[in-house]
Amino acid sequence: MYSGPLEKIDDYRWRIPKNSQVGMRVDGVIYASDKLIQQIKSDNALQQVANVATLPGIVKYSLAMPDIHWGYGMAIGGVAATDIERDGVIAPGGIGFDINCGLRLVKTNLFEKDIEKKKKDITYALYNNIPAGVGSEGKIKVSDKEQRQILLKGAKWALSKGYATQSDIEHTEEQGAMEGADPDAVSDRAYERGRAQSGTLGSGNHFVEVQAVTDIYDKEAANIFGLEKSQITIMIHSGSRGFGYQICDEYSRSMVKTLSKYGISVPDRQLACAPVTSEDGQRYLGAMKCAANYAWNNRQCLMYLVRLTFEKLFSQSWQNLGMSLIYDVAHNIAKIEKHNVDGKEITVCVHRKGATRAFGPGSRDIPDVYKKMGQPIIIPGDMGRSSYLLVGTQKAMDETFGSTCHGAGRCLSRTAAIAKCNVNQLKKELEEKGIVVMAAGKGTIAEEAPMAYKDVDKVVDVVHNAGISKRVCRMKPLCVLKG
Amino acid sequence: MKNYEFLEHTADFGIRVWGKTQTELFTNAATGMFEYITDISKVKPTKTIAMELESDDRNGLLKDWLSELLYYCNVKNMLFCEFKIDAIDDKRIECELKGERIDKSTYKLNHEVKAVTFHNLNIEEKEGLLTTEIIFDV
Repeated sequence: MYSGPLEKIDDYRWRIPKNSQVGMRVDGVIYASDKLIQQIKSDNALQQVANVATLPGIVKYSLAMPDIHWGYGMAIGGVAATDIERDGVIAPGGIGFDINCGLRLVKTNLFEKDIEKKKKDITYALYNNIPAGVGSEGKIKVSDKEQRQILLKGAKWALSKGYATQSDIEHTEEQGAMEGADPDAVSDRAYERGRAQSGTLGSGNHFVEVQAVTDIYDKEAANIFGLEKSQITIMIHSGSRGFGYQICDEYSRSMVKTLSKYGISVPDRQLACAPVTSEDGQRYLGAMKCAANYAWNNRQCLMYLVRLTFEKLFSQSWQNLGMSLIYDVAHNIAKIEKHNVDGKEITVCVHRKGATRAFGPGSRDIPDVYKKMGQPIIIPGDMGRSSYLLVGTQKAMDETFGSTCHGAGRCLSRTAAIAKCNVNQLKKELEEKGIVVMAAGKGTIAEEAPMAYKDVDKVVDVVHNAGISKRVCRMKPLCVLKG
Repeated sequence: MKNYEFLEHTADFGIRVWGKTQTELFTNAATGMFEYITDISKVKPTKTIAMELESDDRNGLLKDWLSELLYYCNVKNMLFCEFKIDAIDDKRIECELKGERIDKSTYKLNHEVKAVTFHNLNIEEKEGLLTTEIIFDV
């Protein structure tokens, strides 16, 4: 429960003034409606927004999106940018354990009526073909030499193996690989944890979901995406698996030890950090990029498995089924970007932990086809409600370092969800809504129950009305495979 | 006396753990973590692993030790059910662990623990008992 100062700026923004806690260098700014802020205040997330405001080199604000919830170190749904030329820091705890956890959205030329009678078959087939669950291991096993190539090339490794097309690469954030990945900054243990996990979904909130478009808000943008009402899309949510967890763990540990070397003190050890330009900062950044590339390759391999599954089910090639990639976005990552701060363009390290990049129209970092309307943003809801496709805006560039929310955000702990949810009843309710769900993990369905999440519509309302992203369309779930 | 309890934490998962001594506190923490991962009453003590570990302080030692157990679980497919601590101080632990190696393709675990975090980890003495929270990334 947060009881510190909180001022209302306007209908969708709140401020934690920088004089409210010793050491805060900037204000905290939270994007939320009157209703959502009440929920947000109920745990420690806002205290974490204030803690992040103490990080050396932080500029403008310590930001939080409407789906913010209590994390470790930095809250999930947090955004922070540090000026790298003024000893701005990079904090592994500001990125998260699942480095480059993210989403991709694939379209098809199928419509809801085409799969009406196949929903169970599709769900079973996905369950059988996609390795999911705790510590799941995949069919794509690689040698250490090959693994290094994945870390350097990201999704382009999949391209070289025939698991991707050039168009897939072009429709992925960073074209599926960040420059400057340093495989030598990765420990043997991380290699060990990552070896058997390429092309695996993982557990918990990771999923593959077959959806249908229910609402179109922006016709022009939807046309550019080639989406219309009742059309089938497929959403994939996964990250860097054990590989990324190990890197985050090791560097958050080593950065606790080097804090004194740089004269940094942090209010929470999980915010341990080092100047971006220091040797320790650069090593972590090089390792983080390896994990980011690993994750892009992973989601590409997962999409490849989904395409194979659909080919078999519909006895058609995936090209015939129109299964092309709309976009792939990261929502746990740090990026070195140029942003305007106080009228001056500076180079910052933008931490997005449970936040999505939302670059506006004209940005050179987004594919040509999307330049006019802004970067696609993929926002998943929960298994019973909707997901969204949004686009980035100029206002996001001006206010939030080109960032927006990443999902619904949890409102119940996993233990509370298990205690409250009747799994059989939930399954029945979902079935009545026409949703088929399968999960690899025993407790997953209860833990991931819709009641455990905030209403994604309310979260998206805030980012849309605040102007930091724009709604394009909404999708409802039909077939859900959970980890 | 309660050894540990599961905690409410919105995004992740945590335990509060107690112990009369550091040895008890550490043993209870490891038991709590593995109880979340699996039903440890079903784990057979067929394999023994000896472990020695050093860290900078008592909090760091607990985090590093649990992380090491997690490494054995996630990479070497080991589940532990018995934790025998032979020697321990603030910076060093020597222990013998018993458990079994599992085949992940057939053995279903309840939960995946990605990592042990430093968040709220602070060993304190309260009413003659050592206690701390431990938050896991799950």
